[in-house]
Amino acid sequence: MKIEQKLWTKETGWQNTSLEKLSEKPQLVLVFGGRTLMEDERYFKEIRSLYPKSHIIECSTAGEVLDTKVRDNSIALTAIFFKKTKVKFAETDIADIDDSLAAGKRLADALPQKGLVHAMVFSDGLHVNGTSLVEGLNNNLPPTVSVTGGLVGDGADFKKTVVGLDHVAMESKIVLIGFYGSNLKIGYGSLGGWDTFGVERLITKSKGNILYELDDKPALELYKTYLGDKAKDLPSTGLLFPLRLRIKEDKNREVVRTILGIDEKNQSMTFAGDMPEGGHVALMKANFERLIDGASGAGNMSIESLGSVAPQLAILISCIGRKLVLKERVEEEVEAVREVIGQQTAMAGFYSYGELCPSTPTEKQCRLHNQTMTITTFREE
Amino acid sequence: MLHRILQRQAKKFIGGVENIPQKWNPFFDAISKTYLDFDNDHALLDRSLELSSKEFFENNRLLREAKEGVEKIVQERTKELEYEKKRVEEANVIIKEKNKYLEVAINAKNDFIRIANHQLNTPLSIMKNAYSMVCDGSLTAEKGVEYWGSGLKRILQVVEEFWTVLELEGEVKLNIQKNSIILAIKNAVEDSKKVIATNKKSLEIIINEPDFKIPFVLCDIKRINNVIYNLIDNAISYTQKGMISISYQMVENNKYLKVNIKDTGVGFTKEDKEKIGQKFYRAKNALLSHPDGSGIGLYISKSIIENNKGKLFYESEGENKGSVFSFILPVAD
Repeated sequence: MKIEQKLWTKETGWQNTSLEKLSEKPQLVLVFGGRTLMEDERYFKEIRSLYPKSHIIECSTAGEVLDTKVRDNSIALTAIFFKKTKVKFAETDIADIDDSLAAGKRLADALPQKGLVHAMVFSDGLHVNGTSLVEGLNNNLPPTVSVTGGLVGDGADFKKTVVGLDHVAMESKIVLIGFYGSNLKIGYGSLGGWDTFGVERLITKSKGNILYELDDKPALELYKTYLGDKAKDLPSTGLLFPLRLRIKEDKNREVVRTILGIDEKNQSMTFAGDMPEGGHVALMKANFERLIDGASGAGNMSIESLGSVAPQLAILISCIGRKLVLKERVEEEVEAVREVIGQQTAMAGFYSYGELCPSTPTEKQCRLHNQTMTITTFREE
Repeated sequence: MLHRILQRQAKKFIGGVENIPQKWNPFFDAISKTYLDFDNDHALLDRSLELSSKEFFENNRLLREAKEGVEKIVQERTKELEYEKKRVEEANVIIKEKNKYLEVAINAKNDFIRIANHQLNTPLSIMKNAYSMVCDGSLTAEKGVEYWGSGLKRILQVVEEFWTVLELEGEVKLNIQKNSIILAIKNAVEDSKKVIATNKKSLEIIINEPDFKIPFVLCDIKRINNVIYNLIDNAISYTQKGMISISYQMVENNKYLKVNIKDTGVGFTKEDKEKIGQKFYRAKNALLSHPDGSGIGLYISKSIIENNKGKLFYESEGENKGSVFSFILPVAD
């Protein structure tokens, strides 16, 4: 595996950031950038001219990660040449949130299953129910195939997210990459670092990922009470208080849910994943040190299955909620990951509206996470 | 505008923010922003914890109230349960009594059938034998008719007694009026004398006249008449020789007139005393001396007296030591 990384900023334009320069034609080019940049055909054309034969995947973000730097409105490009591994691609349109499960199945069915070892998904971040998407993928992919990925972002605006495979990124798109062959070693890890506080509340009214009432009271009202004057900046400020969801019917499994949007008229809130009635939720608050420790822990998890040899590439997908909380300290979590996985690994990624990853390094079953640092590591032997 | 902590530190160390070298401004701005963010975060956290505390307090209050409510309900329910338990226990006692009563009633019914059978069978057997004897010529038709007549009379008497029992156990219509029982007793004694004569018993029957004026009593005289006849009949049946004496007493502050019928007959034991007066009960020595008795006469008498707001008493010193059967009736004003 060979990797070349480039950065585009308004101030500097394109610049190489990696020492290595690819002499081969990369099969995969991952591009993470500000939403308006990703929508701008100019930049896609520039990238296409740089990599005319490669598959280019563009994702809008809520912050781009390249090496240990976190930027907004930049373009972080990672071109990957696999020596032995084959990659295949699928893309689908998602009609609306209710199409999430079917979209997951369509994507899974579109990839040839023979030799498939891992899949990475990049999905529209607003018009999707992450839980259903993951369910669709899990249902139709072989159980031996692990899936990681994320719901792409739109800064802290929550207005429009775009994804594209070999075209200018657009709304309502989901792209799935399939990795084939036994020479590719994959690792993954996902951790949060948020603490619950206050009383646990019962979800008394919800539909899919839309939450209406907690303990028979409007959920939006609760958020507004807790946010005070910050409520005017909803939905982004809602990320300061994610919810820990405990599902009794699923062995009391706990997941973190983050807010994607609000509807004043219906007094409802849309979350990145399912908020089932009968589930119990508790507000969560950030603890800086624990967030950083969480990132570091995710790093450790992600290299656990790779053994003593460091990965060549790490894709970091971290939640916008963490960025909003960490603010000027946000790079500390990326640095914490770097410290764990080593200096030789190329790092790129983005701040997302949802992270997709199995809960433990030994598990294959993908799950939707929120408010986590989720890392996928690659090494080709 | 730098954060106030930075302003104070700048003043302390370099005399004021105006002395910060220009090239250091971005550095100070970054620190200032961090301080401000920290303040904001801290304020948000403080606010959240305060709200959360309030919610906990409120929930705690609600829980406490609910607990008190539950305790109250538990107390009330416990009380109700205790009350219900008591009622069930009382009902059980009643049911047990009713069961006992039913058992007695079933036994009584069986006795009734058994005795009815026996009481009717005896005269019927006599009549049947007489019929056979008339048919084969060993008895004259005239004598046969005599047997049949006496048998029929006995059957009628038995049937009448049973009807009386049934009537007494149902709703009895009484004709209670101010009456004198002197005449009833006199008539009964006179009739009894004839019976004694027929039976050829060495038995005397007398009325001990009291030293007070016998008052009127409230009663259904027709039925009391039956009682008087029955008690005197019994005295004759169970006394072979000696005397039957009838006396009067005023009792219970002169509110009741007591009539005693004393005999020198078979008497009864203490054990028998408890059962005499029950339907169909017959004392052992009564059975021996008068086997055809139904055991129903005294039960009828007792029921009639009680229906007339009186009471029946019986005493005996023991077997063959005679007995006294008495009844009281309320005196008319």
